[in-house]
Parts: sequence; C-alpha cells; structure tokens
Amino acid sequence: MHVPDGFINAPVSATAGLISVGSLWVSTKASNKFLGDKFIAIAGMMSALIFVLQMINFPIGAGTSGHLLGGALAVIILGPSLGIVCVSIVVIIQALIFADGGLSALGINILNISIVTGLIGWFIINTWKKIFGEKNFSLILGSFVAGMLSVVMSSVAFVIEYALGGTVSVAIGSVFIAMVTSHFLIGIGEGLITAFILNLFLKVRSDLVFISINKESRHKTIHLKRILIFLSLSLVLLVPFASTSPDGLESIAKEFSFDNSENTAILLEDYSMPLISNNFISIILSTILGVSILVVLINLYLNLTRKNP
Amino acid sequence: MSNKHSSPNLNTASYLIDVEPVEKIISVLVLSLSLAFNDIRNTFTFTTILFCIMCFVYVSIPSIKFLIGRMYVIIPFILFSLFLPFLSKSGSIIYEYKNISIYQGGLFEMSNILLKSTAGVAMAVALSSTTSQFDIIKGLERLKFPKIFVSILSFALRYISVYISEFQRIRLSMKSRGFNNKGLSDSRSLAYAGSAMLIRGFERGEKVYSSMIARGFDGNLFINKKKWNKSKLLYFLCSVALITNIISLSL
Repeated sequence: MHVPDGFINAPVSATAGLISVGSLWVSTKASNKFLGDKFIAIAGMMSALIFVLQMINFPIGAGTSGHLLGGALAVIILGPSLGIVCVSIVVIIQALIFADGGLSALGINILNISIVTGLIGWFIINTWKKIFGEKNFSLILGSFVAGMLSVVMSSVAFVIEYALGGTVSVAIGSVFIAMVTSHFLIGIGEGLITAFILNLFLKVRSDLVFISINKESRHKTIHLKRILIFLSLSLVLLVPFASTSPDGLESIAKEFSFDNSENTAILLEDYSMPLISNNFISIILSTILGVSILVVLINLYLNLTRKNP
Repeated sequence: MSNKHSSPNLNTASYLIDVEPVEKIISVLVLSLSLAFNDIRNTFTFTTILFCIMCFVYVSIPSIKFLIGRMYVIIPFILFSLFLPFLSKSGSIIYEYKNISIYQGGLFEMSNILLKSTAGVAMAVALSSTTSQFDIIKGLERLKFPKIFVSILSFALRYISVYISEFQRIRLSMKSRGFNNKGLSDSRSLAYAGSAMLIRGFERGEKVYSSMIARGFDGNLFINKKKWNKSKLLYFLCSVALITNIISLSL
C-alpha cells in the first residue's frame, strides 16, 4: 500500500504533499483545542499503538493475508482530528526510519493512508449514527461498514492519483479493477477487526470512545465541513494536470452523435473562463467558481431545511 | 509478525556515524528528490545522481547482505515492475515472439520504477543505519519542524518498542492457550488482544501526562549537548546532484 519513489510524477506528488500538510495543520489545531497539552502524550502513545496494530496480520483466504490500516478505527475511537494526526505520524515514522514508502511520495502516502481513510470513516460512522441511532449494536455495524469502505476508498484515491500522474502507461481500467478487488477483500478483514475492537471497547470503557460520548455532533460536523471545503479547494490545484482527452460521458455522446455543443452557448465551456488567455489560470479560476457555487447551494439547502426550534 | 521493525541496527564502523544528523537528512532529501523527479531518458543527469546515491549508500552500510535484508518492503513493487514490459503498450515494438511482444516504453518504465524505488529505499536504509532514531528527531527539531510534531514523534518512537514487547507477550500467552491464526473466525481473538492494548495505552498516556506535569513539563523535550562532525563528502555529493540538475534544466 505504501507508494515508493518514482511511481507518481512530480507535480501530483507535490500537490498531494501540500494537501496533506494543510489538512495535518488543520487537524492539529482542532485536536489541540479539545485536548490541550495532554494531546502530545496521548497522540504519541496512540500512534505507537497503531504502528504495532498494523503489524497484526489477518488471513483473508486463499493463502493471502492483509494487515490493519487503522484509519477508520483511530477516527472512531479518538475523534476525527486526533485520529488523522496519529495515523499520519505513523506514516511519517515508517517513511523516515523504517524505509517503508518513498520520501518523494510521502505526501501521497499520508493522503491515501491517513486523510482519506479518516475522513471517509468519520463521514460514514457519523451519518450511520444519525440514521440508525446511538445503540451499541448499530455503532458496531457502522464501524464494520466504515472500516471496509475506508480501505476501498483509499485504493480508489490511489487509482485517481495514478490516473493524474502515473509514470507507467498501463491502462487505468485494469489498475482500477486489480486495486479495488484486492482492497475489497482486505477491507472485509479490516471492517471485521474494527467492529470487534469497538465491541470490546464499548463493553469495557465506553467513556473513552469518541463516537459514543460525542453528543454535540452538530458542532463537529461543521468542523468536518470546513475540512471538506479546504480539501476541495486544494484539489483545484490538481485539475490542470488532468487529462485533456474527453471524459466518458462526452466520448459516449460523440459515439452516438448527439453531441450538440456547437449549438448551445455555455459560459464555462470545457472548464475555462472567457476573456482570460492563460490556460492554467483560467482552468483554476473556473474550478474555484464551480466549487464555491456548490458550497453556496449546499448552505442554502441546509438553511432552508433547518427546523426552527 | 516480523521482528525487523523493532531492531534497526546501527553501523558503528561507518564514517558518517558522527556526522550531524541535519546534514544527513538534508542530503538524503536532496539526493532522493532529485532522482525521483528526473526523467530516465536524461541519461547523463540520471547516472550522475545515481552514482552519488551509490557513494552515500556505500559509505554508510556495513555490507550488501545487510542492505538486501532490509529492503524487503519493495518486493511487491519490484515484481510489478518486472511485468511492465509485457503490460505497457507504448513506443515501438522491440521484440516479438508469437503473441507476446515487448515494447520500448515498457522497458523504460520498468527500469524507471526499478531504479528509483530501489534507490529511495536504499537511501532510507543508509540514513537509518548511520543515525539512531532519536538523532533523526533531533535533526528534525533543528530543521525547525513544528514543536508539537517533534514531541509527538519522539513519544511515538519511545513507546513503539514498549508496545511491541507487550504485544509479543500477549501473542505468547495466546499461543500457549492453543490459538492458531487460520480463518476469519480467529480475527475475533486478535481484535480483542488489540483492543486490550488500546485501552491500556490510553490509560498509560493519561498517567504519563500527569507525571510529566508533576515534573514541570513546559513543552521542551530535548537538550542537545553532543558535538557533531561535519562531512565534506556530503557537501560534495549534494552540490554535484544540484549542479547536474540545474544544467539539465537549463539545457
């Protein structure tokens, strides 16, 4: 799972590094706010433990075995910000001292292994808690789903980075199928182990589990929303490196010859602003515009549907 | 479970063992980044940087056997890259036998990934065989890393060995009760062992924090008094790598 040097090209690895530094900064600030000075000791201990838990191999079947990634588990037990910090520290230690994963790919590894798994796992367990209630059984089922999907989404994130800046010209479809099917199997094992660990935790020390003691989930979700907005804005930097060939929908449209785009006037055709000649800047500007329109729409929707007390 | 993570052994006979950790970290960064972000078709630059990396690795490791023994992490990627000439379809066909054909682009990509990933891992092994874990952290502190990160890193490193030995103890007791790790149904006992460790770790963290407060912890962890040497070799290697990079950029 750890990407070595020379697999992803320079611009994409640099951008992934920027994204991970930014989100690490945000989550350090947030966890400092709710734990204070104590944060240092507990975060260090927990990342040592997650390092050791990653050495547990569980059999998947057919003679292969996978090991825990721990992103979803850390987020469920320690909360989103502290969990992301702990897993990222583990990745940094592995790269610097145990030669696992390349130095130039450190940003990509942090993004895939800690940030994507953490955010996806937190999102799933939080929505699960809202839909199915706070009983222990529903939390355990939710943690199984969160653990499984976080591993699968982390492999999907790798495939996206590969598609944007892979140095190898193997077809993306075959890479996608190989990565996602193998990580689906690993994800089932990860989900099971996450669910069992949470099960014992809820029986023995339910006061330590973040997801079950966290009553004001509204406050925390706003924080999550900020992180998501930051991530999407920083993904903007990646867009100009994307492939210029038409995407799937457009190519299907061309094949069946209902591509009528010459007749319709669109303001932002092919993601570029009018009146700006520089390709790079215009693409970035139009993406920022799109993201901010989305954010405004989502906020409007949330405001309209909010019940007045 | 492998025991290799727990004992990164130092090569005390090396010339680089007394050199300041900051210099070693910076030179590893410069060399591996300049190799990873270079194109393999730039033959002159690529071979020069590769030669610099080989010099660095040769000075710091005790034997080739040691290096190969610690490079086990990239075995899956090496296997993947050996299949590339058959999978990747770019460039012209070099060799054809019945249905199997080897493409030029595929060969380039194979050597690209093979050389870059092995060089990167070899650099990291060389760094960790001449610098102890806590010296690396001291180096990071002198490089003005954020204070919070340095302290978390040092805590994590200090407790990794503690938890590894505790985990081995737990596994031994599980084995003596007749546990064998075979099917998915056994993952339950593994998970219970893991969660027992997590609970103990959290409680231990709280205790350690209160004892730190009792001794007057104010956020500073290191007092560095050791005298370090400076190395001309590292300056030379870094400057060669940088100069070749600049030349290849300006051409």
